[in-house]
Amino acid sequence: MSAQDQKPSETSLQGRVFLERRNYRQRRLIDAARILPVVGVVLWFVPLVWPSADENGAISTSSASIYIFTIWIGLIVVGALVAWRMAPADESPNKPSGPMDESAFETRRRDRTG
Amino acid sequence: MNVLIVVSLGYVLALFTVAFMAERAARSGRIKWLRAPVVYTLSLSIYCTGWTFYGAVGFAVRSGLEFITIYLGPSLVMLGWWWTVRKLVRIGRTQRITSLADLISSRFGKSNLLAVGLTLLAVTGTTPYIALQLQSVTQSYAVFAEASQDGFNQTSQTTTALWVAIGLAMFTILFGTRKLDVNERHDGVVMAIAVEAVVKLIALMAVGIFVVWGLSGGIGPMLEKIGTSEIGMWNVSGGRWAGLTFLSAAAFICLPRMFHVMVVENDDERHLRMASWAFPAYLMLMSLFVLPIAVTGLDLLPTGSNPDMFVLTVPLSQGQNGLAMLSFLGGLSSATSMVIVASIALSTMVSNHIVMPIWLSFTGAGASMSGDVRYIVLLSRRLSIAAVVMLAYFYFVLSGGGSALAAIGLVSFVGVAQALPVMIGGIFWRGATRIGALSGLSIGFVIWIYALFLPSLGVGVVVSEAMMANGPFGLTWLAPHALFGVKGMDPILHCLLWSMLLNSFAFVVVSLCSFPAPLERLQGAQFVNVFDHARSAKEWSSGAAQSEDLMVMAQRILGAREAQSLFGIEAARQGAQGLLPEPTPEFLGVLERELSGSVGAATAHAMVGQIVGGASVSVDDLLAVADESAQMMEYSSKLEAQSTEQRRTAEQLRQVNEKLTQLSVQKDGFLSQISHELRTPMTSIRSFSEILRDSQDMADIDKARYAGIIHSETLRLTRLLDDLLDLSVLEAGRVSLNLSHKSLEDVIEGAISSAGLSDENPLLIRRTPAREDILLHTDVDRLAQVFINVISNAQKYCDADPRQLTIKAFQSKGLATVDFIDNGSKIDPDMRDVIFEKFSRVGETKAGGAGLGLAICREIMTRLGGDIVYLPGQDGTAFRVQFPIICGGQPV
Amino acid sequence: MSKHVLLIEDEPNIIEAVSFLLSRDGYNVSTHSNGHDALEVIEAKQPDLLILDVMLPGRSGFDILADLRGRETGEGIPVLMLTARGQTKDREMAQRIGATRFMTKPFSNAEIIETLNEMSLA
Repeated sequence: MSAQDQKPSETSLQGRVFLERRNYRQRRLIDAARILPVVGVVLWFVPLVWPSADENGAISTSSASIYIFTIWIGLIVVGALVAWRMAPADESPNKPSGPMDESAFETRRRDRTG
Repeated sequence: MNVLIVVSLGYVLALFTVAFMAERAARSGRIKWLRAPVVYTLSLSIYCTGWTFYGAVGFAVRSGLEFITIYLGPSLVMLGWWWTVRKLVRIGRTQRITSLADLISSRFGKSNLLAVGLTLLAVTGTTPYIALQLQSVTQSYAVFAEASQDGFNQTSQTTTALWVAIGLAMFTILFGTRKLDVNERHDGVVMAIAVEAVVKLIALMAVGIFVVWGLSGGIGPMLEKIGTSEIGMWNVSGGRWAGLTFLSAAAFICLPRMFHVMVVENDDERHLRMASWAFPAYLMLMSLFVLPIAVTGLDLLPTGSNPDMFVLTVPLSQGQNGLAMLSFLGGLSSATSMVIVASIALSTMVSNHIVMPIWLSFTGAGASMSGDVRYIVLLSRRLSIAAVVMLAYFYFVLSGGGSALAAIGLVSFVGVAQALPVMIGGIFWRGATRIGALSGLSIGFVIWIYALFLPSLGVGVVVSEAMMANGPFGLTWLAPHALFGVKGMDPILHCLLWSMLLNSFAFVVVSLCSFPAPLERLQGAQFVNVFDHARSAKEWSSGAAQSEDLMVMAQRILGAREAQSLFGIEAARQGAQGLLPEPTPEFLGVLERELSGSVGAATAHAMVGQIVGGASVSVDDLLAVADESAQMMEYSSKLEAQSTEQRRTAEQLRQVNEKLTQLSVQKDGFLSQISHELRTPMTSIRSFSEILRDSQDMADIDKARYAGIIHSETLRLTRLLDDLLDLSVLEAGRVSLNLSHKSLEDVIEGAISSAGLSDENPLLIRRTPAREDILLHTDVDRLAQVFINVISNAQKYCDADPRQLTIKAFQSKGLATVDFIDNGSKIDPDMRDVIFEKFSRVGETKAGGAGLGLAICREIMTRLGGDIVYLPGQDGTAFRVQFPIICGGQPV
Repeated sequence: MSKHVLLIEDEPNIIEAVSFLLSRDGYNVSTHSNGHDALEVIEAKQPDLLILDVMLPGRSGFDILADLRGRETGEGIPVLMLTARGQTKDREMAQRIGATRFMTKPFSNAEIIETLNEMSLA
C-alpha cells in the first residue's frame, strides 16, 4: 500500500494535493469495504456465547432476531454508503475497471501526459 | 385445480415472453437496461431456490433461528466482495471463464483432468438439488389439489414432475443455447430470472404481511406470539450456527449456478458495487417473515401438518386463495429459475469438458476437421441440458419424492463446497499446483460421498445399517458418521469438518511438495496477480503457426464474420495488409481466450496447440514467472507502457526509411516495367508491318491474319495507356467522384453483363439478390469497374471444372461488403500481398492484361473510402470489397 | 544443311513473327515458351543458335544463360538475347554472363536476320 501512496513527482502542487486527498479517501473506502465482512462475522458470531434454552438467562427468539436483523440492516447501510462513495472514482463507463488501485494509477498517468 | 393449471401455464408463458423480448432487445442493441446493476443483483437471487422458499419455514419450525445461517453466509460473502468476488469476476472476464470447472482447470495449467473431476462433482452435487426443486413444485401442487379435494396420488405426482422437467428443459434449451456466445451471456434467461426474483420476493412478503398484520395484529403482538411459541427460546448449537454460516458462504461461491450468474453472466464489474449491499438486503427481506409464518403455522394448523408447506397452507386455511396462488407462483419461480440456471451451468461444463474433448479425439483433429463446430457444441449443450434435467427427474422418481430428499439441500452444499479450498487457493496462492488441487479435490469428494451423500440416500440403500454403526469390515474408526472415532456429531457438521480439513490439508501439503509445470506457473501468476497484470499469458512461441489454418478453425468455432473481424482487427493493429495477422504470441493468446469462451480453456488450448505445433513456453516467459516481486511487476508494467510507445515510434521510422529507399527502386522498376509493356506489342507490330510491306507474293489469308495481329496489338497498347492514365489520375488523387444512387444489386448485375463472360468456357455465378438490396450512394461507375475487374479475373484464372463464382453481399455499421469467391485454386500465400502491386500477374499465362487491374481496383476503393483485400480461408480465390454505403464524397 | 535455331520467348505474336522470318531465310526453327525447363530443352535439342528472351515466366533469361555457360554442352552455343526493358544495365549484364549478341525490342526484321547470319558465320 505504501508504495502506491507515494506522491507523483511531476504534477503541480495544487493538482497533487487534490489527487492526494482523493486517493487517500478512496484508499480508506477500500479499507472500509475490506473490514465490513469481518465486523459482520464478529457481530453475528456473538450468539455463539449465548446460553441455550434450558440454561439460566436464556434469550428469547424475538430478541435474537431483532439483534440479528439490526446488524444486518446496519451492514447493508454501511455497505451501500461505501459502494456509493466509491462510484465516482471511475469516470469512463466502458472500461471494465472497478478497482481503485488501478484507476488511481490511471489518473496519475493521465495527469502526467496531459 | 384447473385454475391452478391455467395460472401456471399463463405464468410460464409470461416468462417465455419476457425472455424472448429481452433477447430481441439485446439483439437490436438496447442492452443498457437489460444489463443494469439491479438486474445483476436480482439474478443472484437464484440462490433462493424452492428449497429456501418453502423449506426455510420448515427449517425454522424444526430448529428455530438456525435457518437464518443459510442467508447470513451469502450476505457476508457479498458484503466482503472486495476480497473474493471482485477477484473472481475480474479473472472470469479477463480469462473468459465459462464455468467453475473451467476456472480451476484454467488456473492449474488448463488441465482437462481437473475439469472433468469438477464436472463430475458438480453433476453429482447438483442433480439431487434439481430433483428437490421438482419435488417442491409437485408438493405445492399436491397441497392445492388436496384443498380442492381432487384425487392426487403418487402417480400424478410423478406425472407433474415429468411435465415440469420437460417444460424446464425446453425453456433452457430455447433460451440458454440459442447461440454460442463467446461471452456466454444469456440475456433472455437473465431477464427471466430477474423477473422471477421479484415474483418470489413479493409472494413471500405478501404472505408475511398478511400473517403479521392480517392475522396477528401488528409487530408487537407478533413478537409476543413468537416468544410464547415452542421455538420461543434461543436454542441453537454453536457448532451448527458457525458451521452452517461457513457452509452457506462457501456454497454461495462454489455452486455451479451461483458461479454462472455471478461470474460468467457478469457484464460489468461495477455491478458488484450495487450487488454488494443490495443482495444482502434482498436476502434479509426474504428471511424477514420466515419466523412469523412458522409461528403462525404452528399456531393455526393442526399438529402434524407439513411445516415445509406453511407458506401455502396458512393462507389456504384462512380462505385466502388469491394469496395462496401468489405464494404458489413464488415457489414455482424459485424452483424454475434454479433449474434453468443450474442446467445451463452444468451443461456448459459437461459439454466443454467431457463431450467436446471426446468428440475432438474421436474425429481425429481439431484443426483439420470439416463442418461448423458451433453446431456440434450447441447440440452437445442441448443434449447435456436434457440429460441433466432428466437425470434429476429419475433421481426424484427413484428416491420416491419422500423426506429423504429434504435433507439433500445441505448435503449438496457440502459437496460443492469441496471446490472452495482449490478455488481460493488458486486465486490467492501462487504455490498451488495441479497435483495438489487434484489430491485435495479427490479426498474431499471421496469423504463427502462416503460420509454424507451415500448415507443420505437412506440407510440400507447403499450403506447398510451394520456399516453405519460399525464401519466397513468392522473398522469402527471408518463408520460414515463417526470418522476417526468422532462420535455423536451432527452428520452435516461431521462431514464438513473432515472433508474440509483433509481436502485443504492434502491440497496444501501436496502443493508444497510438488513442482508446477511452466504453464501452471504462468496461469498462477495471471490469476493471483490479475489486478497487476491486465494482459494475458504468453503461451505460444510464434512463427510456426499458420495464420490461415488458425482462421479456418476460428471461423468454424466463432462463426465466419466474428472470426474475420477478430483477425481483421488484429491485422490492423499489427499494421499488416489484408486480413491475416502475424501469429504473434500475443495474438495466439487473444485467439485462444476467444475460443475458450466457446469450448473451454483446455479444449481451446489443445486446438490452438494442434495448429501451432505443440505448446511451448519461452525462456522470456519463464523469466517473467520467476520474477516474483510484486513491486517489480508494477514497475515493469509502467515501463512497458513507455517502451511499447518507443518501440512503435522506432518501428514507424524504420518503415518510413524502408519505404523511401524502396521508392527509388520502385521508380526504376516501374519505368522498366512500362518499357517492357510498351515494347512487347510494338515488336509484333513492327515485325508484322515490315513483313506485310516487304512481301508482295503473300496469300490473302496470311495478309489478313497478320493485319489482325497488328490490330489487336494496337488495341492492347491503347488499353495499357488508358490503364496507366487511369492509375496516375487515381494515385494523384485528382479524380472527382461522380456520386449517384443505385442499388448494389443493379451495380453487380451491370458488372456481370459487362465482364464479357463467354459461353465456351462458362463461369456459373451464384448470388443472393435479396441480400444485395442495399441502396448505395457512391460513384457507382467506379464501383462497377472494380466488380468487372474482379469478375473477369475469375473468368480468366479460375481453373476448376465446372467453374463457379459466388458473390456474397452483406452490410453492417454503414459498410457494404461484397465477397467474390471462386472454386478454383487459391493464390499462393506469398503472392497475396503482391497481386495488388502494379504489373503483377499471377501464373504464367499472359491472359491479356498488363497487371494493372487490381492496382487500379485498390486505388478506386481507397477513393471510395473502402478497401479490397484478398480473403483468406475460403475454398478458392476470394476477394473482399468493402466500402461505405454512403460515400463521404471526398478523396480519403 | 540449314542451321537449327531455338527461340525461347513467351509472347505468341513475337514467336510467330520471328519464326516466319527465320524459316523464310532458310533456318530450321523450333520454339519454347517458358523459363522453367528451358535448360533441359536446350540440352535436348542442341541448337546451332539460341535466341533467348530476358523476361520469361518461371525463370529469367539471364539465369538460364548463366547456367548454360557453366555447362560443358552449352559453352559454345552462340546466344542472341532479346529484351524489352531497354536499359543499358541489361546490356552490360548480358555481356558479362556471356551473351554473343544483344538486341532491344522492337527490332527491324532486317536487323535480326543480319545479326543471326553474322552469328552463324562466326
